[in-house]
Amino acid sequence: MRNLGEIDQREFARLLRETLPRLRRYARALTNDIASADDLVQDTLERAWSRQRSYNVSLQIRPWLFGIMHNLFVDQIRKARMDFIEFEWNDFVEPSSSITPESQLSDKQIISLLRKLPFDQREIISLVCIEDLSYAEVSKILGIPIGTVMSRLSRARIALRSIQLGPNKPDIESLVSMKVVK
Amino acid sequence: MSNLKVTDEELIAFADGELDEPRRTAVSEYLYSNPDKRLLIRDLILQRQVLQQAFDEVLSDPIPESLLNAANGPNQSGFWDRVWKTPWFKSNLVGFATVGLAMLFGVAIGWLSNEFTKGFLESNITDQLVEQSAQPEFNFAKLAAVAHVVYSPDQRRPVEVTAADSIQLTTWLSNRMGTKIFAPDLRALNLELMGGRLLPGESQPVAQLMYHDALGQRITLYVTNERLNRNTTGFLFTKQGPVNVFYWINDGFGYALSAGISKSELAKIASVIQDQF
Repeated sequence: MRNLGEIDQREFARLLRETLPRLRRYARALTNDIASADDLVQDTLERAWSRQRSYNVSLQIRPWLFGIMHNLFVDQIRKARMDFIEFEWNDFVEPSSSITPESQLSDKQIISLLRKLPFDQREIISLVCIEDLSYAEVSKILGIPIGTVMSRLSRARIALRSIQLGPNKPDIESLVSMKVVK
Repeated sequence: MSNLKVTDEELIAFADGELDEPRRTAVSEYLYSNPDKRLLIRDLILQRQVLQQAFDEVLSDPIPESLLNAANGPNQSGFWDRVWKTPWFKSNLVGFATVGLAMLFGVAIGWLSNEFTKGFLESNITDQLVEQSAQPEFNFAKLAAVAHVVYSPDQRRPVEVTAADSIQLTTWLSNRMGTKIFAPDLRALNLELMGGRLLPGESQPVAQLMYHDALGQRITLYVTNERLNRNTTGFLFTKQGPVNVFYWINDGFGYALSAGISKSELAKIASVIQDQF
């Protein structure tokens, strides 16, 4: 004998397994190391199972799970009063130059720059740029209006661009065009 | 046109492909006369690409057993606990023991073959997940989108060599790239060749050809012959912020057709181009 709930659970487990790599990637962007990222994923999966009934098949699983992960992580920060390095982006002048292909950063460098952003900015930039979610989805995950998504994202991306450019700005020639091969 | 107010928030939404008409067109027009903001758009698209690339490897990381168990849920063991306690199970205990022994053999054999196929299965699952992102040979499509954003709104000098003499243009490109380049004729679609420019590729120069329609909408075709060995079957598609890109590899050449127009319109142009090779 099989009841309907059992089939649903199997399908639910399948959805969770399918989303696992992306959950891990998002957790990796939020936290500072692999171990705490995977702990966060573990907590998210457990919370997801305990809230399975509130999951509706018409919902997309990814935003739903990311929402759970967001709430868990915010709780964690509050409880542990984790000290995040707050980056004062106001200290940087509006960049007059631009990121050139030659000044592209290594994967490690960009990850460490991302970690210099305040948590809420790091989170929103990860959801939009790494996870490729729409502003509407991000607004649901974070529980904030679209207008707030746009202003927070704007601060985050301009700040990251300022840190990417750094104090050593490329010379004026490279501003005008990409390097043209002679 | 140029006194239009455009905020950073709106520019970012444009770079993320989040603006609807008519704002999208309004921002494109604003970009024509604001080169510094074009650089901002390029930086934003590059920023997204760099971030994605930095975190993509997580997708192909082997997943720890503990996380797979957590994904499978708490009810796996709970289910057997409940079965164990039913009277129906207790009364059939001997039968179950026999079946259990037989199953042990099966498990032993299964385990042995599993050891052989494990690696294969794992890589198969993760392959599917990273399929879209981790194909370095398709990097040129991303570079093409960035080049489109930088040069297509340029009013003063969108191309290096104009198409006034198309033979001269293709000869120049062919000489610089060390291989025969030709510019597809898209006049049947009312697209006129404006000219082209050479750009730095990953290791050698690549070409960008630019076309426009009667309304001034610009379309670019990026052509590279860098390290491309296998052909693609059909067109591949990527959306890089406000730019839609169809790309394909044919006979060692990579082509990426970029424009801020709809996917279906762009697909039409791509198939006309492919017919000419």
